Amino acid sequence: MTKMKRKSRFFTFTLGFILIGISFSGCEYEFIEFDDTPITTEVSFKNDIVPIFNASCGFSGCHAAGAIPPELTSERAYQSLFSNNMVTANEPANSLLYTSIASGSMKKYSTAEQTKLIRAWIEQGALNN
Amino acid sequence: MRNNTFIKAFTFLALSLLFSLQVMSQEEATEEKPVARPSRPAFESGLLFDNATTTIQAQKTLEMIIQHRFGTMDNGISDLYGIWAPSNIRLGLNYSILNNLMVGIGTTKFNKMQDIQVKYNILQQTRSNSVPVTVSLYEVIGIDGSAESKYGKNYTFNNRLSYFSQIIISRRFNDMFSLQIAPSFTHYNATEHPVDHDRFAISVGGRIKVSPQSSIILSGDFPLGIQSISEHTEAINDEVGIAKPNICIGWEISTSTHAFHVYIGSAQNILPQENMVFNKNDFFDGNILIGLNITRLWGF
Repeated sequence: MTKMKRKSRFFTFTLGFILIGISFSGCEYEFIEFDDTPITTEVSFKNDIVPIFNASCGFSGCHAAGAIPPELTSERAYQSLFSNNMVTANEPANSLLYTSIASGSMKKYSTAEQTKLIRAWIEQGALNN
Repeated sequence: MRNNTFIKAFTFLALSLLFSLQVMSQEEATEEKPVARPSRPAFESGLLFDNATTTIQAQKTLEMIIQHRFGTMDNGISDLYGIWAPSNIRLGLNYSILNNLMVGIGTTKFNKMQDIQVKYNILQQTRSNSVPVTVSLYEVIGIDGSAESKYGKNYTFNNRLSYFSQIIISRRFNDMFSLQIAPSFTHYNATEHPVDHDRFAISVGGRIKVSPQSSIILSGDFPLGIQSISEHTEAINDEVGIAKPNICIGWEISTSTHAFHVYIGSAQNILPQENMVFNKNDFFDGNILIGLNITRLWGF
């Protein structure tokens, strides 16, 4: 057997072991469980809500300055949410911010934990705190 | 648990069979003195929209990939048919270690997905037709970079991992026409109820070359709802449904070092496992978007 063919067989077996190893060792079957206890502490717009926008919304091409309204940058997010009628204080079901991330087109960009925080913030009066 | 065992057994058998075939074909090849010339690749690049093809660039070639998906056209002129809508992008690098072995890495905007890819050609179509098809094994390991809170209260790092395993079978029928079919298996370590962790799918793709540098390309990825491997009852699955097929049709322009795709398709996620499990866009319901792929090759 030539050196080239030995090399090819070596790669075949190595790759085979890697793929079989992946299929046996890496797979888990977990269902994600969220903490569904209601939020009773005060939710801060600055400390709890703005970080969500920074992590998931305020990118260029999305809700950054000059892109798609509302502008969800740290500086202008609060003003922009209200000027674009995205929030009705105390009424998450009538707030487009909440409905779009809970069940609408922005759902894929948010997590259940983030959705819960935004709901609680609106229920607590949507304060600029 | 029964499903888990079934999937592992299936994967093991499929991989064992393929590698046995490969070893056998190599042993047979040792007895044949004249080596059959491989045919030209069935596709110009290793990409066909969101899918991989059996094409692997020559040994020691680096391939840079830019994949861009605009938003869907549903909102019409208000967001310029998706061009102003939130878009997805993936940057990738593939390197051919051997003429039949490629490894790659990539990063995608949606879910901050990082991916590691391996593609290995176990059979190469020959010009004499002694081997009528090219067969590739393709594996994509995805790592979701989203915030920990996405995974709830029992978070572990393994929750982030997803696997896409595919066997790609292609044939270059002539200089003008190539076709491929690719059954695949997708696994997510962690999903939200009632999304299944496992999904079989079948992909088909083709190319019709219309000039030396231009081709019409099309593909379809069809996730399969197989009740026997589902973790949920038929009633729940009927209610929730599975991911929509990703249908794509477009134009390919290629040179010796570049390939460019511009097309209309329905999935925005780019990584195949994301499309097979989470694509909600229905091509026939008008949820279509414009996509672009650019590849550039460097030889070392």
